[in-house]
Amino acid sequence: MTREATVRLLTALLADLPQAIETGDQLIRLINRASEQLANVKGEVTAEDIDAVLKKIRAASARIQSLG
Amino acid sequence: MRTIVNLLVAAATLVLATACALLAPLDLDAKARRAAFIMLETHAVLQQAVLVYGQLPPCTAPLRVHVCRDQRHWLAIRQAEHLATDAILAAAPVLDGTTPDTGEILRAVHAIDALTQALAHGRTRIEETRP
Repeated sequence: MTREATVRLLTALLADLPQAIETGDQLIRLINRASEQLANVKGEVTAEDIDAVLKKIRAASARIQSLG
Repeated sequence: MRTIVNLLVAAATLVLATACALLAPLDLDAKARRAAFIMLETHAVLQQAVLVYGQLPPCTAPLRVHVCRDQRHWLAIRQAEHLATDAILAAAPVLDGTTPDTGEILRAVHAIDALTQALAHGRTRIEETRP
């Protein structure tokens, strides 16, 4: 899958998201940001780029595991 | 909420399938590195959805909430997330090119897929009762 195809997929799926539910707004913003990030993927992804997302994953995991 | 979970599962599954195909040769050239990056970003998005779900009030709470968290479902998702993140971190040296791959990437992909399966398995249990 190309970056463009991924972004097209996310955009198409976003159009079907319900706008009314409480947590929906939060997720829509989240997915919009993710879509933008994917759209901004450079032609060349460096090891630093991967390190940065790994750090983000580690931090989010710690928060998830701390939830009861 | 069910629609959101469906959305995330569909997006993640598609990206994962592509990442599997691109990473299959396990020769981390620029193209494969980009696929890995997109896979990791997708997992990061899934984690945020897991966080949102995990912060919902439990379904045992009084019925004044519209959406709630099924505790058994949540525990399965949380465990799958833990395993996926562990597998990803184990694959990190391969992804940054410092060590050769001995199956770490494939294990990470499978673990992330298990997380999407955990979300998919429980999605029909999510209630959207509205007054």
